[in-house]
Amino acid sequence: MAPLLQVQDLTVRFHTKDGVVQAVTGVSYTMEQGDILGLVGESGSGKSVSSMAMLRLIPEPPGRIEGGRVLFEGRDLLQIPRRQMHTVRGHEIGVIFQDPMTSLNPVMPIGRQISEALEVNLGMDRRAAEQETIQVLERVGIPQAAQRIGDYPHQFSGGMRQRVMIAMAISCRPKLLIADEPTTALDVTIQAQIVDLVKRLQEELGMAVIWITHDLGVIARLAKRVNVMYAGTLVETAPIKTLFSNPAHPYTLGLLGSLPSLDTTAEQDLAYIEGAPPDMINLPPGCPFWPRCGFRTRICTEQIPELFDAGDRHQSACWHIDAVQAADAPSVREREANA
Amino acid sequence: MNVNPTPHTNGAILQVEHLKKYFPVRRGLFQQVTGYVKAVDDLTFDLYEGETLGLVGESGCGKTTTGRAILQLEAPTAGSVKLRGRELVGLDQRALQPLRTEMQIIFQNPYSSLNPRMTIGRILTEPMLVHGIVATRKEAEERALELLERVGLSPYFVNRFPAEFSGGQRQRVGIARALSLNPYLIICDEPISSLDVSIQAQIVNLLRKLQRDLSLTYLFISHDLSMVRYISTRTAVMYLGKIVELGESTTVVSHPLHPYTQALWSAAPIADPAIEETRERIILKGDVPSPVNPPVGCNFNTRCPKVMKICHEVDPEFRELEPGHWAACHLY
Amino acid sequence: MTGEALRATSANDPQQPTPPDPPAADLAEAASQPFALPEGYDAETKYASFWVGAWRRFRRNRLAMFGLVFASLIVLIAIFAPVLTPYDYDKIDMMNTLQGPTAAHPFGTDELGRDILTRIFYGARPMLLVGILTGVLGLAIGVPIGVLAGYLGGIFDWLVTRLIDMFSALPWYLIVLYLVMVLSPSLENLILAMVITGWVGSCRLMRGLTFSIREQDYIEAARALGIPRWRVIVFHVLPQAAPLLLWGFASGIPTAVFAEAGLSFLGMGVRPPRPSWGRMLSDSGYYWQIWPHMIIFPAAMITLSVLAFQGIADGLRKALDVSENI
Repeated sequence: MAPLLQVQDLTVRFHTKDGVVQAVTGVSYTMEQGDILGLVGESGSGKSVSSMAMLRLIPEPPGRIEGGRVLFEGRDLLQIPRRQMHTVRGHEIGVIFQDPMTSLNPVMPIGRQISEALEVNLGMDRRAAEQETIQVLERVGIPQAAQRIGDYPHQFSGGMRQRVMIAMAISCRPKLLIADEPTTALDVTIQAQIVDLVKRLQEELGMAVIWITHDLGVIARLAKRVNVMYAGTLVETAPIKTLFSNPAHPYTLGLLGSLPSLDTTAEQDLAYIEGAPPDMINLPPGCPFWPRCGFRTRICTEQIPELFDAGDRHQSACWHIDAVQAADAPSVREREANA
Repeated sequence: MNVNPTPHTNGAILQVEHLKKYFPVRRGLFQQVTGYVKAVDDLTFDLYEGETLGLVGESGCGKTTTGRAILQLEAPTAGSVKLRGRELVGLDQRALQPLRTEMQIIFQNPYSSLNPRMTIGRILTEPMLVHGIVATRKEAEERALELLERVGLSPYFVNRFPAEFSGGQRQRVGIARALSLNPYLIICDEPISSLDVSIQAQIVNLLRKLQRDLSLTYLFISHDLSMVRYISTRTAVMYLGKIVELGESTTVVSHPLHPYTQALWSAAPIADPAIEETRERIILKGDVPSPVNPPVGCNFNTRCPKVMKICHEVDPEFRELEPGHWAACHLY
Repeated sequence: MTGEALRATSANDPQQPTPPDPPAADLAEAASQPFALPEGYDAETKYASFWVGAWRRFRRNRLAMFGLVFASLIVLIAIFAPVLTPYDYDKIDMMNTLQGPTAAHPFGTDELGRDILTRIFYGARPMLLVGILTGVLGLAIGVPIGVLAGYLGGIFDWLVTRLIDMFSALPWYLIVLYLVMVLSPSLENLILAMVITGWVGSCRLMRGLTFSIREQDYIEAARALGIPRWRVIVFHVLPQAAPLLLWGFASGIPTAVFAEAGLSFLGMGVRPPRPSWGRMLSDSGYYWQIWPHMIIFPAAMITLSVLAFQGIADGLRKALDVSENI
């Protein structure tokens, strides 16, 4: 079956007065229908920019998509006329952002915001759209949905607003849902609610999901496959269990090691990654991670590694995959072994 | 845990009793007080020498206000805070001055907690000179260099400005600044929340090392449950201005008594898909009520999966249910 | 993990491009060479301090640079006027009145035969004095009051706000006019009048800025460290205001320049025969239609000066990144 989404060599740069920010460099990956992909990375990793670039939501200037293709069901989203992008964004790809307060129109009742999308994208008449709106609000767990369609965003709590955003995003039955750090600003208990909601909706509607976050724990709950990004490049991609039990990139290894797990005792110091995320305007030559890497050798400063094979559907952009996989990923490995 | 208990303090260097901080809500033309935000509502706990007490909760629970109220940066509305037996509440600025050398704070945001127009050197030497800890400027500068080394920064940083540094480095400067007055108690107000995940471990390790080397006592405020569990000896869980559970960290995590704590741990994401797949989740319904109108009875009664009739009527008492393990719940 | 087995699994999915194997032998050998910092790699990013960066931005702004050059020229002219001019500004020469520009009188002469170039040069003095002194004195009064009002709050702030409201409600130009009339026209009184009405500007600016600075974490950190309030105000709050105050000072100058010109035009400024461009402008009233040089030079100087100072102020605003609305 043809893959739903094929990102090929996507490159995005921002031209600022301080220099050129190499936000995304040569990112390629594929998604099938119904896949749940976790896109993990820290600030500056390019995870949000790459996804927004796919939807052509990057401000141009100063941003510029300088290369690559994004094939969504065979069509290159970067080449189609802008008018058609509106349809794609509303109808075929849904988006949820981090801050629902700024993503929802504060002066429009939420019911209207949702039914508007339905009328425009699915050609429903007002009454049908309103019915559908109530249904989708109930689906995302807004109590008394019928009464609340006239309410404004500020009348909802943070978690509820996020549900409204989700309702808006799925109302037109998109094939792909992109969630850009939707729970980062929410409390833990609310986050759990939202993650579970998205998981349930994914199962019910069969849509593919890209979940962007820096929280490996959330990924562990939700994703089936993980892409790890660092300094604008894709450094590792693997099925979820493989990533946690057998990471093949030093960055992933370091990240997993630095998180205290339930087994980490008070006596142990946390493993950590030295240094700091790089300056995206002045990236070091070669692999962007070498200044912080414990496995580095000379070639790392000279040639940028491609994504090499590291196992079953597992790839890593590193010259020393064998060394990384031989190293200890503490506690996670042990647990797998003991399970 | 009790080191050299003394008659009045029991080895506790900080004793908080019935601490309250209410913020008035003003409405209308004449700014009438229409209600109070009960940010901190009757808190009682002790902090023992050398321990790290973790203060956990979600937004609006009052943990940050608690830290500030203890330091008297916010004047408490009621209650008592005793530092090594001496009452802090009600003291004026002049009387509080010498106490600044005993308790300090590390802020959450490294980008806004350092004065952008002051060099690192000045940021560190100013408090020392103001309090007279050192006799000469030269001495202050030498101590500043020592502090930088202690927090893992190069001495060349003294003449640079905060803007030249990354978040992790700035946070180290913030830690050095807190240490500049040689306090024994440090309130860590979400010290790693604003940092990238790959940097958080560095800072946590640093804090632990400093605690060992300098015999510090920490109040570690955070919403990151796994980090709190790792770094604290005891943990207190707050909800809507009250402490709902307090005990040894390992106990509070493995056998939480309060339903909120149980839900909190179950909601916390764990970076291990095998566990996430199989563990049982308690998903709370609804949202946190507003701190202006906390529910009658137990604050948690709107969302508690084990709510009973009495929970809507009577505020549960905060009692010691097992040795060293306290909770406020009608279930027990 | 060998290449064979994996190529087999990847081959099941024809759409997926086969990922390359980990590097082959010769690459692996290169990969095993010990780590060495690449040549020419500089881990330190060069950091330009705030003021250096601001200067660079200012330099790129052409209007601002013109303004700077022209303003410097004016200042030099004002200071060195006696040296630069062969005539006295009040030297009357009834034989050579109303002459157009000549070699002897590059700007021509006025109705009393006085050299206009000389009078223009000397005329820069009152203009600059008013502009700069008003700014400096206004800041000296407005800033301390503003920062105290902003930091201390309470009744003091309430009082200061009422004062600001009062002074803002009145049209400053008229007040200045009135004050000068009452006190008798002179340069000193003009400056006094302008300072009396002008201090509120910097006061309001400073107060607003202090409010926002006060909320910053580093101010709270200073309190937690036991830094006394006066030190916090002087060493923590005020330095943040430096860019804004610089801009405020610079943007007050064109207003003052214009005011001086206007008031002198109305006869409220410097007393004759001391020259002032505004005065020269008004004195040219009878003559300019036939002897346009009498109006061209003073008008041009006023216009260019205001433009120059305004350009500097605007350049500062962009370079220092201060927004116009606090």
